Amino acid sequence: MDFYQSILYGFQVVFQPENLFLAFMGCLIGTLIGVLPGIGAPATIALLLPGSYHLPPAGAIILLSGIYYGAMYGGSTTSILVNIPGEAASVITCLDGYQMARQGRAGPALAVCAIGSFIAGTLSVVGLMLVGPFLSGIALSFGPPEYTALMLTGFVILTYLASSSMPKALIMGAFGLFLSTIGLDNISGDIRFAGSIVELWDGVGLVPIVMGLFGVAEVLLNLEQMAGESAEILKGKIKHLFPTREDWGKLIPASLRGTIIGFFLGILPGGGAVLASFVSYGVEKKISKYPEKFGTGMIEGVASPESANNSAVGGAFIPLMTLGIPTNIVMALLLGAFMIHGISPGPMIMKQHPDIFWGLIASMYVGNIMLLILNLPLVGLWVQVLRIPYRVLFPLILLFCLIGVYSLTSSTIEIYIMIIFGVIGYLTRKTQYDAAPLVLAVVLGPMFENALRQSLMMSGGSLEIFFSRPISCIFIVLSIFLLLIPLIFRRKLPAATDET
Amino acid sequence: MNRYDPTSSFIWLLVGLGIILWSLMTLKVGTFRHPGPAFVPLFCGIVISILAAIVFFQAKRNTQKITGESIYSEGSLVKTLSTIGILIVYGLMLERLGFIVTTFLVFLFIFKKVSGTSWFIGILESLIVTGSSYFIFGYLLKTPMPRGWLGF
Repeated sequence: MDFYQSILYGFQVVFQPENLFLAFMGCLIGTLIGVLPGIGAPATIALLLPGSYHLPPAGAIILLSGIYYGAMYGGSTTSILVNIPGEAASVITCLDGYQMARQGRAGPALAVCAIGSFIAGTLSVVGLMLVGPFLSGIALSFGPPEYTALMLTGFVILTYLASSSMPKALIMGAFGLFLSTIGLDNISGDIRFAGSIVELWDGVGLVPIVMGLFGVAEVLLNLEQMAGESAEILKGKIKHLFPTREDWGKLIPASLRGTIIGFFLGILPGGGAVLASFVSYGVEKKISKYPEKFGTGMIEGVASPESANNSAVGGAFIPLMTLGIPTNIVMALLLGAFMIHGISPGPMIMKQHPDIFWGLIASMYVGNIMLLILNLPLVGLWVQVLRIPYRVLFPLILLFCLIGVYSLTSSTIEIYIMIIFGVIGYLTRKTQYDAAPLVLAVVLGPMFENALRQSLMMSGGSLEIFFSRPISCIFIVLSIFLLLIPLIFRRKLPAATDET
Repeated sequence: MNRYDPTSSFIWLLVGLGIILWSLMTLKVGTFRHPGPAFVPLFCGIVISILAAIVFFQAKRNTQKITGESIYSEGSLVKTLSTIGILIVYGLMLERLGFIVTTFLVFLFIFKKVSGTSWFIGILESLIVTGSSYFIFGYLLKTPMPRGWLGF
């Protein structure tokens, strides 16, 4: 199949009534959980993962990915109207979005988010379509040393970007790697650290860990602030949704810049939507003629990060679909969805399962149009959703988490694992240890360990193998460089941190 | 520096040392030429121990700038502990009493005690939550729900 036939085939897949319905449901659920603070895309996807087993593989992936990019759209609504980000990737949108709303320009701010997200979402799909097949070709030449080095770089990038200190992030990453070794060792056949708990012989599941760290821990933290539960939503009708001519002039270039930044940062292991939104905001501020006005309601400060976080979603699919490597938690869960259906994403997916690859791409085009319709005319509905009090919301989140983890293996052990990680997540948040490196290490751990041990066996125990092959050498050097930066600039860093 | 850095890093140090001991006592480490099942876990334990020691000594040396909220803020500990307790009780009761009874009782307790609603509203909300969740997950999504001793 050539390129045009492939994309046409993708549209044939997505326009099947069942897949169209699943794409719509994904966008709807994604927008809903994006709007609601306290439950994010990872917890929702984890919850629906067991249920997706009953769906056809292409439909399941279309539904789950719809939730991811839908959440990116929905997350901005709360940032603008309540000054509370629905998603971590919308944190930066609060700065100018909320100020625009306070100046009576909530309508244009919401429209800028939706239009910027649409532009970025669509362009990033074009990027995925073009870069995906190209990278798949390169990925075929990857051996264990290249995979080891690439995953190591992913760990290092994530710990480098962690909001806590680098040693703390590395501790979390190393602990996640240890957790990933629990259960059956594929090479020796030994059972590791599981004792007589049969449920752990297959390893600690990703879903209870994610549900605990991001669902239960979030509830525990939010309960502490429940006294002031009703967030102040801007009163009055949201009018004049359509941006002015002047707004368009600022919106389009900012959106394009955000799209490019987001797409490339989305590809990086450990990068993703959150980083993309922060970097694009920084770039906009830097190149602006009026940097001092950022934070007072600048349209570029909304358009660029919102575009970046949406295009990062398209970018993040590239390593998963071409190398089989998830670069963030959501991609890890999608990898889990592939595994449930017995499919291994990687360089061969385009040949073996073209319906999934091209169907997913086409569904993202269609999904972006659905989201535009869902987010602009129906913004009033989402504002009403924001009025649900937290005392009603948190028991529902807990119940969804409980049902979600129990349904994995119909065992209460999963519930206890989730509770343990809920407590760990709560305590690590209080003590400023990031959970993200732990989750990424749990996801990449088994692949990393196998690739590392195979590389060492291939080389007869010599580490030189990582430096003698060009691709792995580049990744290893990059990792070492990133690890050394904080040591080299140790004296400057605290000052920079203090400024923020 | 977070106010709990000395304590948290000390706990991580113990975790790291525990992983090292557990790996060495129960599994083969192997060599670089033939890495065994304990090779990576041992490496993790060493990394955690070293980094925890670094954070511990940094915290001891730099005590002026203290950041982070207290875990023992007013009322928070009670809510946190009761929510964790409720989740544990849910896990203990689920397979004995079944999904419907456990969900109704546990969520009645949450609505009444943690959310502070009246008995009438609490019972109504619990019935709605139990019924709608059973319909969505048990009936529509075909999620397996335990029936328990009572048979429903």
